[in-house]
Amino acid sequence: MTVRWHGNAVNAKIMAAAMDGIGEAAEIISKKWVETIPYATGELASHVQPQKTGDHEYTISSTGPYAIRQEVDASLRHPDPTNPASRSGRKAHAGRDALANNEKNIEKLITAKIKASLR
Amino acid sequence: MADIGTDVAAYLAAQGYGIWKNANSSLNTIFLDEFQDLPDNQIVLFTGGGLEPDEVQGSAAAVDYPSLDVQVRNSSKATARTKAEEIRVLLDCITINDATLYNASSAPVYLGRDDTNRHRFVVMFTVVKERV
Repeated sequence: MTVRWHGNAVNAKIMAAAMDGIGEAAEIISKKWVETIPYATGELASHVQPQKTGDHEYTISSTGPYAIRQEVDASLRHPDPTNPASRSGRKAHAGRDALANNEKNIEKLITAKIKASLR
Repeated sequence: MADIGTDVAAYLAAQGYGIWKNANSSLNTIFLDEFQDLPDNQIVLFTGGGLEPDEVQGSAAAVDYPSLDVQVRNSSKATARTKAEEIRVLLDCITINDATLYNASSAPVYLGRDDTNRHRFVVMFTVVKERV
């Protein structure tokens, strides 16, 4: 009997599938974030993008004036009563919540990707 | 059962961080939901929707995960930062009535100065609250 060990190939397949899943998850989180990110000029929303920032890492970020303050300052009103262009349905913690509310979905997505890659 | 903002405001007052719901309202220094013009130095608690609850089909029991932000405003930047950090440590993993707070940030975040040059820092918490 001959036993062939494909451990390294399997590891590589799993990692590739996981990274594929994480990439897709980053896209999903970005879309969810854009749905609730504070919106007046559209600058914050237009800058939300996922980026591969490491071998096993994606970062989703936004840039623009007051980006951090818009994310963490719950005293800001949405819509901003002083800015007619400001939209309702937006909130502080939009990025944090988009990620946290989808943790289980991300886990399921990556699990499914890995399972499919091993069939 | 009071809401989490009210509970934490009362707790902070009991710990000496300010005055909450005094009969003489001009003495109050802890507020909910919005800043007051005066006094300069105050603490405001903001409760937010937070995360989706965990629910079980067919059962009324659930776990809610609202968010709680504590903003500290002070005319001294250093004092605002110190108080915010103290509150971050004080409230982490603490259970008040039926809710437990967990830090959602590892340090206070500086929000800058307001129109009258008062400094603001925020510390953020996730709250875990069982609904029975």
